Amino acid sequence: MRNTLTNELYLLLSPKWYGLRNRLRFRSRGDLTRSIVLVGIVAVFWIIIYLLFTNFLYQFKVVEEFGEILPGKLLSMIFLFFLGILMWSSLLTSFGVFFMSYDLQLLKATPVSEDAMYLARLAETTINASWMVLLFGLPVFMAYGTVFGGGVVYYLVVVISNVSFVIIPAVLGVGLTMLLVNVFPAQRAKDMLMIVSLLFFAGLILAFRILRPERLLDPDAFNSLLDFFTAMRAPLSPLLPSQWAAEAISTYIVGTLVYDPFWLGVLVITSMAAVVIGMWVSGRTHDYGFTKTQEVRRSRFAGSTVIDRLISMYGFLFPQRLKQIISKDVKTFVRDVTQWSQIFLLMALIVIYVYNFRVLPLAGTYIPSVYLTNLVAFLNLGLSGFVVSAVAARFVFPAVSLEGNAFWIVRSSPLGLKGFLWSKFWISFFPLLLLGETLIILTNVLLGAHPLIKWVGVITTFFTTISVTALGIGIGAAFPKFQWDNVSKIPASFGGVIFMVLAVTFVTVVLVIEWRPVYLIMLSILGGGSITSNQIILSAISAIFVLILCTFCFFVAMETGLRRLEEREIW
Amino acid sequence: MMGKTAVHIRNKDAPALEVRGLKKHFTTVEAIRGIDIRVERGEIFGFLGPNGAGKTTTIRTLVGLLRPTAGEIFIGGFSLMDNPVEAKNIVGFIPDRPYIYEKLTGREFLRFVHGLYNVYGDEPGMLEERIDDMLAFFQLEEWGEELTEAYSHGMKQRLVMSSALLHNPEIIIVDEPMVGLDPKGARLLKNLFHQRAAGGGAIFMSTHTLAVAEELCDRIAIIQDGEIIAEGTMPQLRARAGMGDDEGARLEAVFLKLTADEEMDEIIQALRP
Repeated sequence: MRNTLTNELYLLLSPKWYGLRNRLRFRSRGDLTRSIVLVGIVAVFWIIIYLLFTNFLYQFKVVEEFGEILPGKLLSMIFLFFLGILMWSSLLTSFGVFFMSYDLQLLKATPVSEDAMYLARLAETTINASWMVLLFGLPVFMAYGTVFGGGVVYYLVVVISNVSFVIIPAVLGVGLTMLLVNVFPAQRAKDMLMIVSLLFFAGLILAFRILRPERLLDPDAFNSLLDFFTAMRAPLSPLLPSQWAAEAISTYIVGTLVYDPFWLGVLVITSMAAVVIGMWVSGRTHDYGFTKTQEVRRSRFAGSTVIDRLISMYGFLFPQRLKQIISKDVKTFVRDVTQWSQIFLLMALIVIYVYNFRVLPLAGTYIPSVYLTNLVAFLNLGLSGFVVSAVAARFVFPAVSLEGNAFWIVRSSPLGLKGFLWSKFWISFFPLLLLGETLIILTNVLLGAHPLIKWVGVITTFFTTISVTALGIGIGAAFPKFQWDNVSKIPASFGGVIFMVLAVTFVTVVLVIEWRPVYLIMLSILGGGSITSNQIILSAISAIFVLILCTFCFFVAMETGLRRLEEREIW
Repeated sequence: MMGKTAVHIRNKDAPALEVRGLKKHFTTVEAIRGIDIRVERGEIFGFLGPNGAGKTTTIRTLVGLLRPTAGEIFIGGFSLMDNPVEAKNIVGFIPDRPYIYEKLTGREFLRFVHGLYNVYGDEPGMLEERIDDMLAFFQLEEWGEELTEAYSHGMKQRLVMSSALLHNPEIIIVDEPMVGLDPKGARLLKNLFHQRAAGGGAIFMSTHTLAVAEELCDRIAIIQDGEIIAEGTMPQLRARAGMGDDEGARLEAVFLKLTADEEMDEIIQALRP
């Protein structure tokens, strides 16, 4: 007979298992197709990661003196990166799982033991926080196995070390959450943590970029080879679980004939001890924290009328009903920390994007720099388009879904879905346009691009932003996720993936259409010649094609979204 | 201010609500099998039925959240299919589950909903006065400047009721009106419904609380398995149930008789201590 704790644990986890099984059993129309598409996309990413790492590792392996050090160093850095991601992810996930999940109202009223509750919630937190890391880390480990001849035992070591590894940051994250919630109400603690972690993350990205890590690839950058080796040999930190996991696997790969399980043992024992300690901490803090979570939080900024005044000032631009949606969306965005705090990360990425162009080594190649500069400036059109698409995936695609369960209000009102989608379009378009034009103008100024390239950039960005916005709103309306609590997961849904693929394809096609006439005209100008009439005609045809494509994308996306939303039934 | 203003009727010759041959099929289920409903101006119409009978499906179809498989719906004379803007303009809908925008304050939410329905262009001063009245009537005046995420379930329900009444609709369509209301609030809402009906408005309400339906409704329709099995005033329903001579027969008995739930009644009697 199983002991009580095991029975309870099995029972507490069973809804997750049944839910997964029922999702597979009661598939709706199109689910199988969507799943196949998603699996296909994941498989493509897997193959790319696997091939990249295999290539790197083969190159590292044959380098003298480096061959034994670099693969291990790379593995340490990967695990360190995973550790950071897992800590942050566990911290944020555990707020919801341990304190805000709807089923807690049911479970806390039952005689289920605290220990079983903790273990079940820890399992849920660990899986939610780590599945993506593990999924996309797998091809990396497979690459190591391929290059260093890993067999069954190697993969067993990989599995055990990874499972033990992900438990440790999960327990730490949960423990920290417990302590925070005992001081602050859960939602406020989560909001503060979101802001701090995003600021920290943004600062980290900036600092990492400014340090110019690409210099590591060039040993000449170091004063002496000895300094280089010293830097390479030093372990990242022997106290971090990431280093233990890296050692556990590296030891197997480059070690002696008999595998030394010391680091694997440290990892496994530490993870088990962490769970026991975490359970003890939870038993003494969870109840109090959960009670605090039920507290009402009064908002400090609810009374602000700034937004209303701004909307009134520019109100003449929009019909009355659209103004209501815009006003509501702006207020919701400003008051939801999980939304506006993403701006920090976005600003850091913009700074890095622009900085990258500042430090581009365009001199010293066999192509004359004036040609290279303008080539890069033209290609930048595509890059900035991709950045705009990525930002649209995060902020524009979920715009319709953000109505959530309250969508019945708009749906049953006389506003009409067309007006509703137009309001979403306008509120998304202007910020996206500001982003795109800022990127393209700043980078072209830094590059010193030719005025023609600058104007092509500005005008193309304007029209492509219109279409990317429409794609985001339209596809977001065609694949809404009104019931999803976690807004940050919406871009990763099937519709979000479709949007990214379409947006990136669209930007690429625009670039391809414009390439030939821009190239010919630039050749003429930079070569000191004049623009021919054929080049002008070609440019005009290219511009018309781009306009047609942008218009087509705009109308098809918005109409498809409107039609799918109209067909959708609201319960 | 509330209840003193007569309901502004745009199309006096048309009934408040008219449904002809309404059908709603899902993939494997026929939720509504062809129903006809007519609600006159100044009438409180009750829509009753056992669980799963099709009440919520009907209501959600009437307000445009679900698309009917067949049939026609006219609200105040305007076709919901052909003229949805005009039709929805004169409806105030109160759902059974009060999902609202949690990052808006109570006042902002009311302004927002009013803005969606603002056909007549209220002056800002008049709107704020009406919002004040609504919040006071539904005992939310202290919470008007707080985010609705801080509201209890009952408070959210009352806020949704306020929002449905703010634009002075010709017909109120409500699913379970008494949810979230204490006895005092329930009494106030009943008075409100009477006043609106007296002013020419109409109420279409679905409820499980038979006592409320019996007290409030001028006419009642009972739906079962997607079909209306009885419709009329209380005397008409009694006659339909074969209890015409028993003037004291309550709606509960009539309802159970008509929906053939007497076996359930016996079970309940047997389970009583």
